Amino acid sequence: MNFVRRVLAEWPLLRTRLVRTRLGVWLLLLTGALLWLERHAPAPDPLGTALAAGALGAVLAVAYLAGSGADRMALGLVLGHPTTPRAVAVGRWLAATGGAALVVLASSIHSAWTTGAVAASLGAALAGLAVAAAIAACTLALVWTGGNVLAGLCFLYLALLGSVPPEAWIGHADPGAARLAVATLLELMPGQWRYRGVAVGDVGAAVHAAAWVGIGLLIAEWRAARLGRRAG
Amino acid sequence: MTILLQVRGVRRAFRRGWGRPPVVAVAEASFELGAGEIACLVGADGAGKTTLLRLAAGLEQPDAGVIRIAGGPPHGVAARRMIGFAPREAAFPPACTVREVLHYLASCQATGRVRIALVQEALDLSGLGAAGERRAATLPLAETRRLLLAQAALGGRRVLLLDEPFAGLDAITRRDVGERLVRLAGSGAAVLVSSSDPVGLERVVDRVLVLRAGRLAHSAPAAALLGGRVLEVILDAPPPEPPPGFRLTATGLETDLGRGTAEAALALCRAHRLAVRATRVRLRTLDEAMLEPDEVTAR
Repeated sequence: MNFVRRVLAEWPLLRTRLVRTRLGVWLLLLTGALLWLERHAPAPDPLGTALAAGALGAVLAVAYLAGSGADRMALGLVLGHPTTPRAVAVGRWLAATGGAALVVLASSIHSAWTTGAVAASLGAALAGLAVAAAIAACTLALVWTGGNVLAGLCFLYLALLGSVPPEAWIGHADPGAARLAVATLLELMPGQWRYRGVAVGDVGAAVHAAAWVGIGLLIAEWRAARLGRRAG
Repeated sequence: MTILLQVRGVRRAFRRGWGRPPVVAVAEASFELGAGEIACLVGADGAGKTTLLRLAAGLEQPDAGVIRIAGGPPHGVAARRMIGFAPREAAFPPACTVREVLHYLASCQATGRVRIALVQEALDLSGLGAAGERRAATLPLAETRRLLLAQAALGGRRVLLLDEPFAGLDAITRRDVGERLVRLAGSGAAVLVSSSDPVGLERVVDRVLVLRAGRLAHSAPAAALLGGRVLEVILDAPPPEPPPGFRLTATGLETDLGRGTAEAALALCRAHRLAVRATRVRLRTLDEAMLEPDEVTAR
């Protein structure tokens, strides 16, 4: 019960950041841009839009909820109170996932409204939430390791390469150990392409997302404890 | 008196890299602090004050020695309920108002009306009532120090560890914050403040701990350490060399009276043909205690 209370203590930060920082504006712009792209695409892909909404929204939300220097410094103050690094990490992750979920829901509702395919839109929303959860956890670990620079790199990776399966473009590289290493890394890393299966009940994709949530949160917890000791 | 903070033989050194000897930040520090006591940890910058406070707050692990908060270790959530720590540098969650920062931190302890009451209590005891809706990140220094005090005292913490709570404050705010600390101690909290510039804190503190290069040079009740009398002599023309036992000041001379009398000291001045314009006997100050030769007294 205490853990839940400590986790939920982080939740009000989302409202504050949505209203008082550019997070709200960026999420609105992201939603608008994704919907515009879907509308003008030669072959509309509501699932791809929901996945991009979840992934990119999660990165933006984490950057504004946890990645700034002030936020990292403030961990020292926060952890001087009766909470734990785990509760703080889980709470921020939940808040960031919640922020990304707003974009996912907006895109899914839009696709259900325009296409009438409610079941497909529901699946897309689930996949979007799965990718948002996985990416939020990973980005949280990244920003508490290297700040918002890493969040920026993560955003670029997801925006440019995240939706393309690695076999579609890694084949152009030279064969050999390097190719194998890159291919393996890309297969293991979270990306929108990886979670398309969640929309149709692919358990493997859901487990992959859950694994990245766990790994990301474990690293984020460890980093939060270290940052808290350093900044306190 | 209940002992709330116990520090026994604590040592902390920091490594500086391969082949270089570690820097000893705190060496063999031992002291106790009881409920209702205010202790001032004085020393120059780099003396080890912040490290000692962080050790007491459980933010650092000592290399040797033991720290107890109300009989328990200073780590974990239970200890966090007892310890209120205010760092020297403020870093509040961005974009939040003062009230939101306190609500956020109070959420770790309570919900609903209890949380609202905790926040209001913290605002009142720190004197921040009027600044509740201002952004925490843009507060002036005096209000920032008050917010650091408010968050440290939030929820009735029993051991308050405040790192330089008076740094950069004007005289009026210093006095006000000092009075608020006295009120907190009056409610049963043990308060340990650090200061590298302890001007005017004599009226606030019960106990003085002087740190010098990581070593506890003095640890004594304020009444004992600051009880010594100092004779200040204002001269028409200060001499190039002071008489034996005297120090030169901007306006003349001064000397610790110890067991001697002011008359005897003045007679020495006259014997040196010094034209005395005025004299004053005062008690010693905390800055003078900082400069005293080492001597650690009981408790």
